Amino acid sequence: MKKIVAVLFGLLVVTAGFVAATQWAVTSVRGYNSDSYGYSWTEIGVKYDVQHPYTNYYITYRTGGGGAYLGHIVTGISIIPDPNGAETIVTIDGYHKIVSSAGWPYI
Amino acid sequence: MTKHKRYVWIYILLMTFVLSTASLSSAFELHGSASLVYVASRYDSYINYRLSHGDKPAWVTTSLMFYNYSGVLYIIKAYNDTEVIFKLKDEGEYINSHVTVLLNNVTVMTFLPKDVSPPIFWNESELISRKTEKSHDPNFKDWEWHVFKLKRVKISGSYLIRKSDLAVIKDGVSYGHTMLFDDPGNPLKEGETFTMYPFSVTTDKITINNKKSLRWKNVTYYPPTKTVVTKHYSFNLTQPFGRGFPVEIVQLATLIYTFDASDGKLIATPNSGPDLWAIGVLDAHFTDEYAEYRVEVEHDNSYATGLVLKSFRINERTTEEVIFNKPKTEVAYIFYGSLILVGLVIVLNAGGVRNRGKS
Repeated sequence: MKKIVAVLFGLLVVTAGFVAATQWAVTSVRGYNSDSYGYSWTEIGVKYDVQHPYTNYYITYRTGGGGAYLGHIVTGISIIPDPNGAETIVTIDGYHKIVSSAGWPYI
Repeated sequence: MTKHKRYVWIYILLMTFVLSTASLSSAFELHGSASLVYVASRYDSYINYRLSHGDKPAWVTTSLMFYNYSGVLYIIKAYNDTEVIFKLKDEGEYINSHVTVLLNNVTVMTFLPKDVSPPIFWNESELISRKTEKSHDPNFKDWEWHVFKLKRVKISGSYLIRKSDLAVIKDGVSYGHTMLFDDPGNPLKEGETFTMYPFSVTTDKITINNKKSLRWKNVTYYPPTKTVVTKHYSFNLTQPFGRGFPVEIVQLATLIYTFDASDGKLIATPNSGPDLWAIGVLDAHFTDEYAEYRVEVEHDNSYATGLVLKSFRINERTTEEVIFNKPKTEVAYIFYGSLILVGLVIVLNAGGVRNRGKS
């Protein structure tokens, strides 16, 4: 009986150890938007704790871009960070805006 | 020399005088004061249109600005009307320009080291909510986000416009050509330096439109209009603490301004410029949702969009005529006066010849 308790206790300690060790995973989240003028995209890199993906995570990079369709020209591309990601504002022909964003937690 | 030839010479001399007067009187003048009110208005039909295309409400702003206040960079988004008022006052060789930026329904964000508290530039009674959010940036673990929601925000500041070259001057630094005026006597040309600080950008394409009027609600700006587009440029705006966090990465930007070519005042622009940089608004994106709706949804291209001139007032001094000096008007008087004079002389002379013939 004592042996069984000891083995069970040992297993519990090992399991608890596995649980306590943070397992990290990496992914990227990409947002895309387009209309008849052109398109905009945003991408973020995410490193997250597999056990607590939505509370324990890091945003490792933020990037974005965009383009214009035939007959239009891109006049601006800005990438703006926010606490959980970023957004990209693409300006076409001076005044028209196409916005995209990417964030974590990904919904 | 026959009499006819003599009149031709008189005419040539008069024209030479007219042209020399035009070149001498190209300096920009303001006597007294003036005010320009620009607006980027909210329009619910436009917001609904954007939302129906899958856009998020947070993306639909009348203005997005990057503001440097006391050395801290803020990201500011206005969801209701944005108004930018310039009050100009003649001060001899300079024009003093006082700017007031009024924003409604505003989100103000910044990212700072935990030991730096964000300096407040708004009236605390306008605060709806404030929260701090944990950093998720691996290199900025000891920083935090501050997010403020406000009913109204007012940003103001002053700078000088040097009359001789229309340069924006603040604390001895020349930021470049003012975006408020294009002097008809010395107009902006292609390939000229437009901005100087914090970076130099030259003008690229200049187009004059002699046919199309530009509208905004009940205001119409008649042709000719002049649109100035600069070359592309790029820059980063970085929060200046320690490692420096980029709050805006501008991969590509272009400055675009549309002026009333008759008197040179700015009618509309989607972006900022030296006049706003000098007061700490380091970058801005403006959308007049009312005009944008007309252009995008109703395909009516007669509307001026971006940040649009709503009103332009000149306040007269008591004793002098107060107006932007339009040298072309004086030149026109001399020109037409000389034409009438030459015409009269020719007519009288012709009459004299006929009378002599009768006698």
